[in-house]
Amino acid sequence: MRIANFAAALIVSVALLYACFFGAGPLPALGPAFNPSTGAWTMAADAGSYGSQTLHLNGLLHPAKVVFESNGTAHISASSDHDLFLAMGYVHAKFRLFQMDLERRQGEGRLSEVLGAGKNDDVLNFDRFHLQLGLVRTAQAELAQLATDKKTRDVLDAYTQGVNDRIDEAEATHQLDPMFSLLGYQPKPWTTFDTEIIKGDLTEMESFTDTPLVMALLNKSLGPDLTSEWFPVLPPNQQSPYDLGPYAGASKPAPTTYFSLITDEQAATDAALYSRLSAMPEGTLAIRGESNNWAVAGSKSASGGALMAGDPHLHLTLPAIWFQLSLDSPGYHVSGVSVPGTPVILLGHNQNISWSLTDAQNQQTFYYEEKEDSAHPGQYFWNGAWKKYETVAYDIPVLGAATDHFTVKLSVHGPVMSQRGLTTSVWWAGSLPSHDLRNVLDIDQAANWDQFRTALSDWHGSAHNFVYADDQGNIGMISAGLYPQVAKGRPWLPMPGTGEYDVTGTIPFDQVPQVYDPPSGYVWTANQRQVTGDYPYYIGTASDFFDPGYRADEIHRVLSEDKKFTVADMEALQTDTRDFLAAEMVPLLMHALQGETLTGNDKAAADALSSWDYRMEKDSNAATIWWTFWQSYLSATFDPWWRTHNVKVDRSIVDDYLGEDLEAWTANDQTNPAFTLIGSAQNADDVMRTAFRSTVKTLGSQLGSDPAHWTWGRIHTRTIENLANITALNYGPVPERGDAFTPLAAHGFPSVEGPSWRMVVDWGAHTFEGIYPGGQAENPASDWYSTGVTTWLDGRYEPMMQFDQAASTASAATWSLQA
Amino acid sequence: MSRQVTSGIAVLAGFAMVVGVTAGLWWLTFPCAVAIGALGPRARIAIASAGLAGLAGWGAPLVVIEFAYRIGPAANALAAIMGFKGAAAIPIVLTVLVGVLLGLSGAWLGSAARTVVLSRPWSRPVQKLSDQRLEVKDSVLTKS
Repeated sequence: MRIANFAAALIVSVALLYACFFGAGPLPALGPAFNPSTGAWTMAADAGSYGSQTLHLNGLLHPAKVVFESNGTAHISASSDHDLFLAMGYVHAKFRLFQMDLERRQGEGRLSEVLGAGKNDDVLNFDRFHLQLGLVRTAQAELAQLATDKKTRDVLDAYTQGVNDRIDEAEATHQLDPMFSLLGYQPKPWTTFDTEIIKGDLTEMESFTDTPLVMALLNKSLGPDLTSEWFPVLPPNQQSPYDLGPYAGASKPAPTTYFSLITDEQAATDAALYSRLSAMPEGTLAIRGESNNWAVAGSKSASGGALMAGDPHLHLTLPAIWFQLSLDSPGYHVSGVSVPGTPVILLGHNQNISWSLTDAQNQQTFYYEEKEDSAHPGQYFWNGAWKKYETVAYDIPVLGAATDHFTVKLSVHGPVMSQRGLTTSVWWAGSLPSHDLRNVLDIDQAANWDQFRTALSDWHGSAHNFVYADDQGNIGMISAGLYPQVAKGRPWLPMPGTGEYDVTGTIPFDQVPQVYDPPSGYVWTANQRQVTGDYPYYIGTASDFFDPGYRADEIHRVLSEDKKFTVADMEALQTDTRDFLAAEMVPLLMHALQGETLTGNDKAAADALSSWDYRMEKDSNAATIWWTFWQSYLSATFDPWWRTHNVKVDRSIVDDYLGEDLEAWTANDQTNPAFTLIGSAQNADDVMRTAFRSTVKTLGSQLGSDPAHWTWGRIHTRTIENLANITALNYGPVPERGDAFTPLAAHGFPSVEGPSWRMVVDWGAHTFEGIYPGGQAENPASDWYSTGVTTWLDGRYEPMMQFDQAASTASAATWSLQA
Repeated sequence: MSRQVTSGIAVLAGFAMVVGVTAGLWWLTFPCAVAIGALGPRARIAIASAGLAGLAGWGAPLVVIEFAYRIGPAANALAAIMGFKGAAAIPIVLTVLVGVLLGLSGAWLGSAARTVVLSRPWSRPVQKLSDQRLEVKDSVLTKS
């Protein structure tokens, strides 16, 4: 009996201790995780540690100060640039260390080390994908470049010291982010390599695409003729490029011959790789662009100074991608938003100029099918000779499993991404080493257009539209970056890797799209094609992967008004919910319904549309009717083709581009053969009438019998997702205005992407304001976890202050930094 | 061992638990509880004492958090992370439960080990038996 009692006690104790030390199932290691003094509970102490205090930082040369506004916006003042960036690293790590660690692990292929292989090895496959893509190799090459770039190296070294000061402090005081406790690991020291990796993450998110694979699959199923017509190089609808030419240089016209048949083997290969890339988490691939920026010259502004507005649209997360701060030192006086892990203000203003970005959307990812044969194992045929693949071996530590030994093969084009069927490698502009951090540091210090433009002249990251405005009333736009050109072939499809189709160069900087002080008095981009059909270089097809252009059209419509613009106008345009496509299509639908006998809900729905102002407001039932109609119209037109041709690509992925076709046909080609597969329909009007009746029926069954209650906010919501995928820490869903085509971008149901930062500058009145939908702290117990969300949702802004302004107002806290 | 001594051991062990938890040595709760169980003469009292000590060791720092920073936001956040949004009591209860269970199981193990050790032939209280024999002898002598 005594032995049995002892055995029972022993078994229970061992089980309990095992759960406490190692966790069990979904439970973390209970002991360290819930230890009130050093476990996840320390988030309470961390949230209470933001007040005024004196801190001692290793490596600091002179005293420095950080002032916090009540919303957590940080203002750093230092007497040397070294101390400024050291303090910046410390502040970033203080508020965002787990985010920074997660993002470096993503790019370095080290998530499995702390998360395990995941369900169906999805985490491990994510790591393998990143090691294949090569952010690690690119970062290593960029580090080598720093040997000759003292300015950037010094900044990175100081920043790294600041991050590590915080890691040391957090470990000593047991105030690491609770996620470290719950996942049971400690962050490794920060390195400059990690910063380069995070820069690589951003480049990947903005420019790595699978579109050529999508186009290949469409080509295979729909055939070359239909694919050529439906997915052309130049957009089928009328758009509003900002650079109208005339265009200098250039030699060869954009390709005109389009798709041709591809083989079953090619299609199977592309399908396998497409399937793999599609399984990657949101934000891994550049799928769509949804950002806005514009500037208005002093001649068109009420204040007499230049106006500028920018709102980059990204996956909205808590914590946000951005951290807002201002930097003041002998070399820098800059305010705006930074990406934690990098020592630059990416979007903002200094004492003389302001800038913001949108994705240029040009094609920067090219797939190559390598030629191999069994007589030359481990080799591929290139430029008339057999060449051996290079290989790089990686060890991926996996939590709870054996280390994964993974080998990446490299051809001259880049990493081999797939060997199922044909061997496919990828040439991605983002894998070329760049000086982007240096470029942004130079922008942070630029005082005029020439310096701004020079800073961008060797920008090699993902191409972006950089809007510019200055204190002299000047405005400009440069779509800086690489625009790869191939020797020949169809770059919108995977191409033979035998050498003739290789990327041979890029468009010279002087000839990339750009304007400065245009006669119109304004510049604007919203991911639309920047140039007209006369532009002599290939920059991508309409579907690879420029925006359909409705946001740009709406912005252009507003800015072309003959009036003097104010900051309020800029704010109104950033939160504009007018759907430009609706404004074009609804009158055509009304025309199609003329002569029809409409009764009941059909009539009520038509009446709502006919009196609608095309604004996607939460309380608008017409907004719901319009959007549902448009989806129904797309489905009615294209689903029959998808079914009869057994198309393997989800139609929703290319809806934006099919929508451009449908818009153009409805306006100008009512009897396009695309409409003839649909029952007895003969033209666009027939299909629209069918789609309209289907819409009313659908909404009646989903939202009730009274059309007055079919309001947009009932079906369209916004969710800001927790970065670690903890849904209970999400914000929302809440009813939200806007849609995919409105300047206030709100694609999806719920919408999880959108304006990640809104900034408006008036150089005449010298006012600067901004807001982002998040908070400065990643700690969910902190008051600064989601501070800005409601202000952002309401379309309001906060002033962007400099250090002196912040220090002279009622600030939340002041940190005195001492050596 | 007297009840006062047992209580003293329990208080000392409880104090050691608080110190251990505060210093990040959360596992110290268990050996402290083993000591209470092993040294306490009455198993039930020893185990209950160790459970209370675990409660105090893990609960007291939570009280400190409440007074120093407010525990509500952290409890809410932890509950959300655990998938129990809005149920802030769950992480608090779970935390205290870990301390209590470590205390109870440690003391149980210590007490059970003690009884096993004391019941083995080589560790039986020989002196006590001989005392009994002496007492018997005495009684015989008394009878005679």
